[in-house]
Amino acid sequence: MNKQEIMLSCRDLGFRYGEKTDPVFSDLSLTVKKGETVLLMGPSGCGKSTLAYCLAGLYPEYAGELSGEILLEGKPLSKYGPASRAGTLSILFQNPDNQFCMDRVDHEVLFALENINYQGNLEERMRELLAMTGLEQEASSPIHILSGGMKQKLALCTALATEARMLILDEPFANLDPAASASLAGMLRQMNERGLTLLVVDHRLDWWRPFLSRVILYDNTGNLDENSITCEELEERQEEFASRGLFLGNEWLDRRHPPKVPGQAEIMVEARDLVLYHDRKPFLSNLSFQAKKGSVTALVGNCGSGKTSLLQAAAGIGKYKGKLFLGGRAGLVFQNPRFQFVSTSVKEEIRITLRAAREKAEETAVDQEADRLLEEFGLLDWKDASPYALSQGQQRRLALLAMLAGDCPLLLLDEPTYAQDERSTEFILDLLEKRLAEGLTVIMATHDLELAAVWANQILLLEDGSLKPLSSREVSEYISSLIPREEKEEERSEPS
Amino acid sequence: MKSLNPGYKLLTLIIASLLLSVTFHIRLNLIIAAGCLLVTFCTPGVNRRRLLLGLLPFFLAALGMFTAGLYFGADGGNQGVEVTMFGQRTLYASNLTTALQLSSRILAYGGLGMLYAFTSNAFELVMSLMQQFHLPPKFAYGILAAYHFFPVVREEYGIVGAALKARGVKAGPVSTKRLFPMLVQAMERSESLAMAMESRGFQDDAPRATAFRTRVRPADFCFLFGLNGLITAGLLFL
Repeated sequence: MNKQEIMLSCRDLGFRYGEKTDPVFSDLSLTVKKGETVLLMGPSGCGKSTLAYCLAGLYPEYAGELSGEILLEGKPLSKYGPASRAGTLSILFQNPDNQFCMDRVDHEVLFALENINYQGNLEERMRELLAMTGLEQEASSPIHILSGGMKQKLALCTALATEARMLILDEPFANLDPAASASLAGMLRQMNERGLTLLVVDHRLDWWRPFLSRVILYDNTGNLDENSITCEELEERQEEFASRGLFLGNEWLDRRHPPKVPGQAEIMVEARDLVLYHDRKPFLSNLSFQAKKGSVTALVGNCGSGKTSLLQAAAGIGKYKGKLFLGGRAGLVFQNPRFQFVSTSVKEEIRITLRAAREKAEETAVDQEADRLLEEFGLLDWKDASPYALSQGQQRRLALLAMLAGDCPLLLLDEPTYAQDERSTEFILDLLEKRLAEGLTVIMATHDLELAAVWANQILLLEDGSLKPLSSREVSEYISSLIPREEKEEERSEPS
Repeated sequence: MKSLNPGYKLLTLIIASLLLSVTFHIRLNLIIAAGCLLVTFCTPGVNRRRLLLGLLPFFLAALGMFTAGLYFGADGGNQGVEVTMFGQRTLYASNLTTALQLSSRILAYGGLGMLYAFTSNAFELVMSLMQQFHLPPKFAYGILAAYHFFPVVREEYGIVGAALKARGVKAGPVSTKRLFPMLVQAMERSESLAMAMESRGFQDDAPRATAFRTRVRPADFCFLFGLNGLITAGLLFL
């Protein structure tokens, strides 16, 4: 391979977070050519994000120890200063909220332009970049009021402001709804066609497929280029994906169906003319719906449409007016489960809930029950660990268990599949289905419309301050409209 | 007032506060308080309702000081120690005088503080401190980033409270149960923020372009010398 064609390469790369910890990866090699879109796929928690941070030059400066060599355009990465490195290579974090340094959209872009000592008209260049990413109307908006999709576009815009020729993206669609994902993917595709090299870390393929050069299945050792799969080979090598708990499309959802709910099942939740308040002002009104025992209700809608507020009202911790009947105590699992942990060990988290639910139970019985539940949720090996030391998937399972252990008949879930790979999501769905069959009622707020379409008994769209029921067919048609099938077929037949 | 350089405006008001702090001049304190509040109130774009609400603690504190000085003077109101500075009495322990001295000073500080808070912008202040007072960019942008996180931290405080309530855990406003998850989050955020700044090309010692220029105009010097000159003159002649 001509050296001038290589954008980024690494050889014999090894990384560990601490001296006494096991290496996250070792003897890893990888080469990315200029103009490629390379997708590095692997299950959640396998170390692919750590590799992304190493390749972006952020580790080992901020964490851990790195061995081996990384070359960016033929020059060792360690020889670049932050400013010159950002002028060649930039990174988009999974959570865009963690990436903003300023308060307003225009300030954020100008900050990047100042950093690279841009010599032209800063204001003009900022407007040009915002127009390129469709954010020109938002120039003076505070960043915190933007939707998730707009935030990722702004992160992309800021990365482009540094004049980076390569972007590393860490699951950029993790918290975006399908429309926002489609729009961002379209933008990245355009940038790629103009020569921007993309190295993407993700556990999903769908949005990348139309402009992908190759997929690399992540392993924590060896030459990753040998694990490359071109788009033409994807279908025939499906088994390799499945063995890692990864899927090419959403076929893993095919075996999911809404739980069977008898017609005469009792009503567990009934809301009538509900008015919800935000900052003492009503922002959702005339909300009416019912949820039957053993059913799944999906609340869908854009960021800020009020899904979380509705869940909090149902859990008894949000302000509302109107009639809200609950057939039992409701447990609520937040989008970020880390906010819900109250102790320093995994087992203690469960014991706290068990003790509160079964006041008269003996300590040994509580202990045994905690172990049994932890085993069922695949967490027994970590029972003495801190809840904060668990992986994202494990934390979500622990938060779920901490609620379910209290025997609440109604479970409210806020974005249960956020930043989870399919294997992790399936694990959670299996656990929930078992309890749904025993009569648990689930209401979940989600961006994952595909999951909502196959798994929910009813789908409620929160839009413009009101609640509208959707059929799963309407949802499926909406999703299909975002990824035109013909285009995908065309792309697949083109040589990469 | 809003067009003044925020760094120089801050310097002016700090000097003014120091001048007032070494003396107890009731009339001057009241003139400063009234003048500052009048200017703030008349500055276009100032949220007057918030200004009045913001003044409430100062009025309450002034009232408290007045009552304490009036009824609980250290000498019972008969004798006192007289201290002078700049030719001014700085302490004279007649009860009513002490009360007025203490409370009027609080109002003067309140006036100066409100004048600054309601006519200045944190972003411009940091830019001015960097450009005119040579604050290193690392500190300047670090302060700004931390400042921008205030609304997020406030939001998180509410979320953690709600999350604990959902688990049936009782936690007071400053309970460790409530603060611990926030502390973990804050530590992670500070690290990710440093990484974010670096990933956007921020380098403390590298040359950088300037998008926001805060200029020093003759009006800034007029304000600096004018206000403090007037206070000194007031101390000497009023």
